[in-house]
Amino acid sequence: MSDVPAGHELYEIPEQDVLVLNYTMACPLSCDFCCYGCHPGRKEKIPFENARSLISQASELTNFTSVGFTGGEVFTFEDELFQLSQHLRCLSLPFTIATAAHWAYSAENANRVADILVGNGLRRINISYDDAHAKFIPSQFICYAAEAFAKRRTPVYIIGTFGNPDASLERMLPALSDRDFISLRTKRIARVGRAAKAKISYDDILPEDRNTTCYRQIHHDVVVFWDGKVYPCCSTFNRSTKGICIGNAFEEPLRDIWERIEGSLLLKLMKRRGFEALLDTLSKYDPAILSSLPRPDQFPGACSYCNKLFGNEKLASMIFSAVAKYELDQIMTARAALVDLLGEGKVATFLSRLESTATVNQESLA
Amino acid sequence: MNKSDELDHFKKNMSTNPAARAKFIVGILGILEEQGVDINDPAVLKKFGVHIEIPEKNIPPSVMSTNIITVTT
Repeated sequence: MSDVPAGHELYEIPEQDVLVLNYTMACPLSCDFCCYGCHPGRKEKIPFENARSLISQASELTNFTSVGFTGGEVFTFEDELFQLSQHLRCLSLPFTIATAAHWAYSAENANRVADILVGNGLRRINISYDDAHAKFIPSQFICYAAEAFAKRRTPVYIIGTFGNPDASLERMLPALSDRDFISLRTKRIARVGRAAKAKISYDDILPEDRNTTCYRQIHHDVVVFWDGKVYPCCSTFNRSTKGICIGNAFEEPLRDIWERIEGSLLLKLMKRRGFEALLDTLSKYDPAILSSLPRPDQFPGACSYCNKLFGNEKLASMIFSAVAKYELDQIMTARAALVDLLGEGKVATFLSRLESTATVNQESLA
Repeated sequence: MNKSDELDHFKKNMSTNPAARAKFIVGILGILEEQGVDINDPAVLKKFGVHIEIPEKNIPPSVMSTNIITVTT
């Protein structure tokens, strides 16, 4: 990672790739729209040593500029979080946390936590708060937490997720509106996880606001769950979208997984040009495919559309097969251009170097 | 292996092995850079086909709460 330039703050360094540790499914809350169905009785968590190893691997790859902790509620394992944050500090790798702030039961405790985490390189904290969270967490906890980090010049995003399009965080947390380093962000519940069958209307979202491209165009959030499974985004739909699972970080090096994400033209198309462009490309390699796939404009956003395509084994398999032809086509063009530029000898050396390290061979993202 | 066999072998490997395709796509920019080619030049990237340009239009932030760590604004 890069050091903080003189005169700049940690949060000002642009984030590139982020290793996200979805540390646990355990959570003291059980919100009625939780995307992962978390609750106090769940036990799944990333083994501490695996998390430590992944952080070390990320620090060796120059493209990772941050680590994100989420869950569940990562503060369920507060001691481990603090130890991992110390490890991150030793490696000069900043980090972010998503939390419901149940630990901010007093200003004193919020300040204790903020001291430790900011001291170890926290670059931003995301706090969830809305009607569902308010059933478990008093608004005063959110104020203690937000103020503790904001006064240490660490950005605080408070994310409110509502079913009602007229609801807003400003109305719930007026004391935190217009405050330096605190940003209130009101969002709509996505129909996934515990909210999969919720009656939520998206009819008011205008066509031009219906996003059909992934949320990060160049860089990646590489998300590892408690069982080691890796997904190439931190979408709330990731775990429900089996076809985008990219491998298992407990079974192979992070570098290999990252290469499969960075080197996937399927992901590049989805992230850079969007699902309309993906459909256009697919139809060139499998003209019949469009009749089997739904249209993106039938969905409220890119994540729900992606879930529809890649959460369905049959559709995902059709897409992978068409994308394989597209990738092969592009690669053969690239190889020919490379030979023109460098000559057969150099290209052969390059290819044999690559071939000795590629092992996975099934037709999927993984 | 002669040139034609090599090309067949390469094509077969690339058509059946997605990890090999990904390694090629990641590796090609590295080798070009090693050879002093300007990999930030769109014309160069277009010639090599494995780069996908980003359109200039802005992507609207997601109305739904779908991203946990990178929160779009």
